[in-house]
Amino acid sequence: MDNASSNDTTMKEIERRLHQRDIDFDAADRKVMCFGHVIDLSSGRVIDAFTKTRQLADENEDWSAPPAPNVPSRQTYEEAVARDPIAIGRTVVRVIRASGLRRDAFDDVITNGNAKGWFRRGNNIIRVNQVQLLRDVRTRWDSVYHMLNRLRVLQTVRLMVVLFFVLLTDQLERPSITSLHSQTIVILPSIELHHENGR
Amino acid sequence: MDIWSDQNRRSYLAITAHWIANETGSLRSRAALIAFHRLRGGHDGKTVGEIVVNLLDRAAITVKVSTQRRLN
Repeated sequence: MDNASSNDTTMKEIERRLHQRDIDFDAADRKVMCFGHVIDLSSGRVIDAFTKTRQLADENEDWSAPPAPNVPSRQTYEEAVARDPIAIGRTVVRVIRASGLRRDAFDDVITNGNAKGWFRRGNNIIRVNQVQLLRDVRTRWDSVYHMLNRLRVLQTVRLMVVLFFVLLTDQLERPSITSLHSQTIVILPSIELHHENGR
Repeated sequence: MDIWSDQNRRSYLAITAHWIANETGSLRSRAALIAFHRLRGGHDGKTVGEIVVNLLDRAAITVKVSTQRRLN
């Protein structure tokens, strides 16, 4: 059971009905909180301590973080965390997934990139799985983890994402997002670094 | 016990039972699905409580518990 108060009402009602039939039942003793839910609440608190932006504060683009050092790969762990990689990752995912048009365009970047050998790891050309970025959802357990994991899997697409936004700039509805193509190039490496250090 | 909704906003209630069974001298953790129920209409706490007891009846659990109690 999760921790909603209607569960207390349910347990009381079960108790009342069982007592009518002379069956022992103590609502308080018999209520076992859902362990998964408790774990999710705990991990949520830890994530909140790392990130300044609430997950549902969709309207405010947060570009207020201090600028990244010129060489992102030399960021320290503390510098990377200070730039709030979870909030930045969330913004990137939100912007790329904002419409069917953008998701299709992102898909095309992967298709073309695979066909033309754009994606590299070291000196090797690699294939990138044909998948979309994942949004995190406050009410869905583990979704922050899955969002960051997918961002990491797709990290080789990052330069292509810049290209993607340059191409899309004309079609963007919100003027504030047009600055993204210059920001993205420093954003995704910092998430990557965050992950490298976290391993 | 868990309640959730599918993509069409239909609600379902499932009850699982978990117990330790003594099987030929060794203890084993066992689990079983007792009820899988489509919830129609509202499901406030009181209604869910009523449904749960009905489902326990249907699974013949309440009968066993009350019989056992009388024997004691």
